[in-house]
Amino acid sequence: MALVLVRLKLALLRAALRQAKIEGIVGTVFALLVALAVGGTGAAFFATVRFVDDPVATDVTIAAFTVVFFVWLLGPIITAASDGTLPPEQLAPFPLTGRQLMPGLTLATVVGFGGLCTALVLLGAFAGLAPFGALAVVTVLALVAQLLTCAVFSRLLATLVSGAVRRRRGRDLALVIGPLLGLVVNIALQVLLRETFDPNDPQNADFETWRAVRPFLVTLPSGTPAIAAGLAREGNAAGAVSALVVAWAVVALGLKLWHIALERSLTTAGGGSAERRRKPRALFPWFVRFLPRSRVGAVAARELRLTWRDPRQRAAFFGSIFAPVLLIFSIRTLSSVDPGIVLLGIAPGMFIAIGSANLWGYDGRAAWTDAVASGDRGDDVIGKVVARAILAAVMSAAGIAGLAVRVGSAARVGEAVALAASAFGLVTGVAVVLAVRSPYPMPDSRTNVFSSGTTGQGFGQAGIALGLLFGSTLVIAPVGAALAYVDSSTGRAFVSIGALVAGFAVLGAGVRSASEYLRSHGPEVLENLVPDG
Amino acid sequence: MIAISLRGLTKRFGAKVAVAGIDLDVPVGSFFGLVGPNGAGKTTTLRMATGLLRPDGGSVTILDTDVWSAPSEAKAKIGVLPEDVPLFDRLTAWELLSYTGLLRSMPESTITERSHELLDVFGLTADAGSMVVDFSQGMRKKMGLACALLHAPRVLFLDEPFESVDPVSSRTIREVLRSFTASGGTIVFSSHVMETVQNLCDRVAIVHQGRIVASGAVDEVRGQGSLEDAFFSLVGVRPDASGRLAWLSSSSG
Repeated sequence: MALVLVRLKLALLRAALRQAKIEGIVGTVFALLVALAVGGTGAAFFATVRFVDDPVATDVTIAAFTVVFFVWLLGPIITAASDGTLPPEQLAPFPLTGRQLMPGLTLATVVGFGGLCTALVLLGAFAGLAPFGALAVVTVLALVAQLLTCAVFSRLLATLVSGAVRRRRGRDLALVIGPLLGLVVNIALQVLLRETFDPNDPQNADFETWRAVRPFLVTLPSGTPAIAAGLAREGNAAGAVSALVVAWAVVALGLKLWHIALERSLTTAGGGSAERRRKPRALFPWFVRFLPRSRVGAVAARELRLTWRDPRQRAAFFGSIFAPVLLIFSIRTLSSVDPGIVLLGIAPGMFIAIGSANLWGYDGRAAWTDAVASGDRGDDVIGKVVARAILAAVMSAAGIAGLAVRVGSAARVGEAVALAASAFGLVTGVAVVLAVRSPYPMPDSRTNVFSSGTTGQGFGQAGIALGLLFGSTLVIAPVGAALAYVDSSTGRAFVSIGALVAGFAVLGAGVRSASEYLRSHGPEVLENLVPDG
Repeated sequence: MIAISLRGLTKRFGAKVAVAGIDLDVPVGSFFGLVGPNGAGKTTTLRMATGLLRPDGGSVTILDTDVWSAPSEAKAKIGVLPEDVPLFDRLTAWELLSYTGLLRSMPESTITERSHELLDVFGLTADAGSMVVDFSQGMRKKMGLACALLHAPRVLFLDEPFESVDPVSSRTIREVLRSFTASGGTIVFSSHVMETVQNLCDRVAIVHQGRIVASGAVDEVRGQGSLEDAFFSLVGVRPDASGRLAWLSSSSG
């Protein structure tokens, strides 16, 4: 059965590639290149472990396996670009037991660019760790266990969060726990690096903190495969085999938990069933009562309602502010008292703007509602941008205010507000044009709210977001540096005004271009959102 | 007077011809059924007629307005209920009606007044504060129809409006549609349930392989037999499963 599901996934990937438009093909090629580059670099790094002493090699393996594990665990949540080629809900009607279904789903999860990248890294690990002789078998089994651990626990977390965000109480909890977990991991990593390596003298490393953290890392699911591989290299057969048994037991436990989570997810009512028979509420939430009662206002209000109510959009929204929150809460930022740090508060708004690159993707087939209504389609573009602007304004204001309080100075608050508005305008102006010209529908999976369809599509989405991030950072970073370090307030005022004018000019041009395209190509945009024609 | 006029309408998806030159006139005030097997081109025709899918050729005129040269003006005259009713279903029923009205630039007071009445007629008042995602299929269809009627269109396009709908909801929908045509409105609806079309419609067109193979008053098209008989004789397909699938009587456990 496992092989049947793997073959099914490969067939689905082939079919998706055959039907893919240019964005899908670019996404697939991009994914392949990223997988090869990252995997190749990781493999090369791991292969060099061959030349270090045994205890150090084990420690490096534990650290590296932990990083790989957390990338698998948090990557789909942060990027909201998880592979959804083979949704478990489509297999639910078949009489498959957990023993038949779960190994197949696990292998199918590994089949993809994430699996390819990890497999390359683990090949490098084999080159760096495998001893000569029979214990090499233990190394191979430990590396396979690590790959499966990553896949199983990644999907377990995605399934748990997907189930949770569909229910009111769960979603509040899940949305706090997710960022908190990421925050803890991020801060822990920074503390570890700072305590271990002296930035002024990298050769002078102090591993005391590492020795304190190591026992915790070993207890993570990725810990025992690392220990097994390390002990096998040291020639400790009994220890290696014991660790290997534990590692495979952890995989089995993860599979069992994933199966339970999947069954709960598939058999629990979604949506807001607990919210039925509520008193009718106005379309406009209380905080946007000022919006005009027009097409623009209606679209903006709908977007704001759905950003919170649609589990996929909620997950994507929190994913988009995840990285900037990490940036703001990094040790380096929080330990600085430089007023220029306040400028980092623009990050949440910028990431929300980057999310505008697929503004119609969540509308999917429901987009006909707007298309069939008389009126100016350009208003739909403006309404969506207004909603994004409100979200970005709130999140950026919170970031800027929080950092201003932290550094105890409001010296750069005005500049930060101007830069935030400018960055939002610049990024949204580009993103909104991409959004109408190459929209792609986001699947609505009960078991994976982070699903972005097939592997290539997910990477295509991430690729567009990364491209926007790098491109806009290249433009905005020098402006931010000028605002942070120019002493003259007049000079900073000129830079702020210039940035604002440039940002709004790009936003205006982008909105005009997108509106014109939507007016003249409404049916084509709709067709892209209804792929079955 | 003609409410809807289709001339030489064609659409091709890759190598497949979905609609192969349809000419059709629907008189004002008629209840017009578009019937045909799955894949005949009914939905594609309706999507092109409502401005949702660009035709490869031909024209569509609704109450003297060309859909593809004056889309906004044409869309103001029509209401649409697509198959499966994909809606912004994380909005509540009340929010969805407000949204639909504001999209069409209706005054808020009119939206409120009509929404109350529509929800009452469709038996959805108690669910006005519920999200549409929690609705049954019948409730979704009624909700979709309420949205389609909110701006008082003169022409309604309905794609399989009775599919997956329970008898109670089906009856409500029929009554609303009958009163709509009685007030001078025109309805075009697609279906592959011949009995429904025969009972409801005064005019019908049978679509097969992207072409209209018969069109006219229901009584003319069906002749002495039922509409289903006429349909099978025109389409030339009669399923015959007798003697086959004998293995269905054995259980595989």
